[in-house]
Amino acid sequence: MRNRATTPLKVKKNLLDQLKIRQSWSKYNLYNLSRLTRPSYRWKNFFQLKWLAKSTSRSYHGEQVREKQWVRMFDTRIRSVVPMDAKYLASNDGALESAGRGSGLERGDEPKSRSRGKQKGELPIPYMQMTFAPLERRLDTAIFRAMFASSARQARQFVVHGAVKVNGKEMRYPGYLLNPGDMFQVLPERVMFATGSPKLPPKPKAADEETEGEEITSEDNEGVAGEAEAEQDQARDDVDVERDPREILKDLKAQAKSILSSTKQDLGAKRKQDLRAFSKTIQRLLSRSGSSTILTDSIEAQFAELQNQLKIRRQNKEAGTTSLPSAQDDSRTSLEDGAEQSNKDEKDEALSGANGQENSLTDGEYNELLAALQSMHENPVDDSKPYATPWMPRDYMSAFAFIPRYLEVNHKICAAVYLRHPVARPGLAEVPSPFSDLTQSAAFGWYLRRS
Amino acid sequence: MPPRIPSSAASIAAKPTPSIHTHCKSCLNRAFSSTPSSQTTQLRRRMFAWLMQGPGANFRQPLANSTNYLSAYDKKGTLLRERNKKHGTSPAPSSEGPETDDMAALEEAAEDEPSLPKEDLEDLRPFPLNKSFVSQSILSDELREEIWKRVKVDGKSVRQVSVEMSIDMRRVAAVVRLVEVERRMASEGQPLAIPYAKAIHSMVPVNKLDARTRKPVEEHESINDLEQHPMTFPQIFWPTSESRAFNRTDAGRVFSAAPRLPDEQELGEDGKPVLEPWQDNKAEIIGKPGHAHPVLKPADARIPHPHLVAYEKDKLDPTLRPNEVRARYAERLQQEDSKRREFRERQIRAEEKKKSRIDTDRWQFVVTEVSATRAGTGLDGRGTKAPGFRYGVPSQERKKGQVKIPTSVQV
Amino acid sequence: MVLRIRLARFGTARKPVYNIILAQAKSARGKKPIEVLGTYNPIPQEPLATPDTPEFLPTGERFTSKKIKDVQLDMVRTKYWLGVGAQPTEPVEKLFSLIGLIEPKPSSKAQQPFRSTSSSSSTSTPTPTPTPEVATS
Repeated sequence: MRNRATTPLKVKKNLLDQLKIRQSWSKYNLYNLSRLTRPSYRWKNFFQLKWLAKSTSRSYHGEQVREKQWVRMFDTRIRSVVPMDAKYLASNDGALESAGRGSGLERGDEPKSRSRGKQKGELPIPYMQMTFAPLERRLDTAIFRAMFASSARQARQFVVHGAVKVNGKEMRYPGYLLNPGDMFQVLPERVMFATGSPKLPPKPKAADEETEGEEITSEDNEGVAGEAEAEQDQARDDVDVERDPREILKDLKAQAKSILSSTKQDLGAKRKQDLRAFSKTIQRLLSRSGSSTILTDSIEAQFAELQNQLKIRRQNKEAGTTSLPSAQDDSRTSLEDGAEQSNKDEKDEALSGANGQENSLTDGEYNELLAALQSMHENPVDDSKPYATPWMPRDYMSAFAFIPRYLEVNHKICAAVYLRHPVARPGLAEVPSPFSDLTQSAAFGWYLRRS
Repeated sequence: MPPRIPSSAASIAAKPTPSIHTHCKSCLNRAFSSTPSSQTTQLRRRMFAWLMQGPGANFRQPLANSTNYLSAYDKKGTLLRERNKKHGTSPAPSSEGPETDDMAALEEAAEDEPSLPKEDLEDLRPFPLNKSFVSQSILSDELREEIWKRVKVDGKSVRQVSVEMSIDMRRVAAVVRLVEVERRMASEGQPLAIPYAKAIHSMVPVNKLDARTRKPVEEHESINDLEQHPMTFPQIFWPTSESRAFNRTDAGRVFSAAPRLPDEQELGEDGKPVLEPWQDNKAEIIGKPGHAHPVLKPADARIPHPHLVAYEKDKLDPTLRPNEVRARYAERLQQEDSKRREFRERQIRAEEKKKSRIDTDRWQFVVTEVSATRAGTGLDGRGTKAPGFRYGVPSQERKKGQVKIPTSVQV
Repeated sequence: MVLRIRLARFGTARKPVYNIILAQAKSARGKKPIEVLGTYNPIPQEPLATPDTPEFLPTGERFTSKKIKDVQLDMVRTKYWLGVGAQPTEPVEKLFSLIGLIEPKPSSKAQQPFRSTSSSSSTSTPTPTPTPEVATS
């Protein structure tokens, strides 16, 4: 294996059809992909045409595979399927198509009986896009396609470093050709690292502030602001200890309101921090209200406690509620239900006071709060992780986010099943490739010569 | 791997106006270099301009709960869908709204942000130049749970669930397997990548579960895919008699160079074929020894769900009432299922009959009966069918270029 | 000349697999034998999971099945050769006595672990085999 696969920005004079595209989610790659143009084969002979096509397409397809290996894998047989209609098969045994051909029964105004394939304006099968289909069988490529790694090379590294299992057994060969039905798993930690935004290096000194300033985007600004706010909150909360519970609860309510009023989709850093401050306040409140069971520092226990509180609240207002939490929430709460059943009564007592004062939050808001807290629980801040926490997807990831149909992926457990070999079907080819038919067919021609 | 550049370089590149600083930060750190580095070429400047301020910013801060591919934007980075909507060229198909449990929540969310029309095929192409690759939808979590429930709790066969949900059988089986693994991992308290899964599900098209019909909202995939058999690749000119119908069964025989079936085999008493094409699942081998190959079956028998053909045939039959049709369909499915299960059990039993298991306190010895006769070894002793390693054949183990990668992993 | 039933080593370094062969006593290990009777894989293999494999024992601990040592043997031919006086070597003798082809030596009987067919074992510990089978002879 060559050790480097660069993504150069530079190409020969305006030959933007010869840019190197890689199996990677990097911004360089995205930029190159946006610049890539259709190949122009104007002043080229046939050999040059095939050579260029092969060289550009191979820089993407199995770039980590040696040419010799690939040539051995190349197959002239292209897998394709045609979706069949059971109704058609039932009503017609095929005699209709063959009847009358050449016997004078055919009329000029009935072009549709010519061939069934094209009569409904059906799309042609893009066979040529399947040139590199055998490479999709490789374990490293499949891991990249399942979005468990940010590049094929990273996927390869995961395999070599022993983070990948095939059918429950560790597999250290990135060149392992998956068989239909094979399940592969990657360690979730590695996947989170590969797909999460990177950890920022420790803060630079104040002297560098000027140069850094321009780099900081609005997001960062927000984050900094949020931090500052959180610190203020902290300070305020410290003072709170001396104030009476009513005040604290008011504070709490205001904070919760501010959380709820912020945008729903954007689970930004600021919101997380707000929530953290919120949960801290609640913890303080709970410890104050005198129940001995909840003097806990771990986030998990605290979260469970909060959940329980919300549940109790819901139970209290059961009669009028229409907006139940989604099924998932229910299952989660029920999961924890068993553990908490025992000491529920004590808490009920402890919280009854608090409930009275929090009534101004509606049930919908509570559900939302619960969801927010849950997401915070699932995506905690943990400095020991090799990625930025709370986990956020990498920049520019969405442009490359797709799962081909020959894989069935469960992202929660970072496992996928290789269902079948990729196939071409009318209008669709399952091999993801950034190149046009022109390039692919010329590349196919190149390898046809050699196989 | 893309070249790693210090973040400071990126910031300089992204700067719209040239700065007074000619020294980059890394130059200052380096004691041995006093020349100003010319890292920021025009190419890099352009790239960062594109990424930070230009159209690339769309991918840095992607749309929430929508796919976000290159082909959904034009060169200037405007969302094509939005532009079309403004022009009023396309109606907004998303106005119907997906019917899920938390419909109210969704609607609320829709109120907050201006609703985008749903992506069409053009927006779902991750690679603008490749017209024939489209990002296809994946199954949502609820859909997966539903499939798992139908197979594991309701005890339906994979085939039946596949037809009900219009999802490929292999996918159904895989979903069940993965959900099982997920449950086990969750019960063992292993860490799951939940935020990651959520992020992915918001980035790729997702096929949701229709709460009312308990089916996917849109048809997921075609379940009766006929694989193009290599035997059908050549184009054959085949004159046939006008007096006889030339159907798919005959075509298959022509492709596999088999003689046509005699009339009495083809047709029963009342003009109906003896065996419906979809029932035809026995392999017929023809050809001289060494060139023997199976006869190509008609498409009816080669599709994954031949019983659907029978179902449709029943539907076309005017003598059958709808409930009869359904009953026959269910019966057929059940028969097929039991037949398959029986066959599998018979296979296992036959295999197990050859084995005897002897337990010692550490190991279990599994003794398999084999037959080591000349039939297996051949007269020269080089046959491959007999047990044991072969003699007289050089070992390729240590030869150059031998591929040592395993070819399969058994579950 | 004495005919012996013995093991002939195949496989690679640290991965032995044996052929159970019938050969002249003085012939080389790798020489082509008179007959190959079967194979013996001394490396214990993890048994494949079947749908019947329980995940937990009734006592609550995780079920771990015994590892498998795979023997393939032509019983008919082996019995014939033993009948005409072929001498099994020591390891082969142990194997055969385990299978029940020959009487275990009195000296090794003391060390001999309990021998049971799967029909009796399946009652004591759950095995991944779907159908218990009676051991041969």
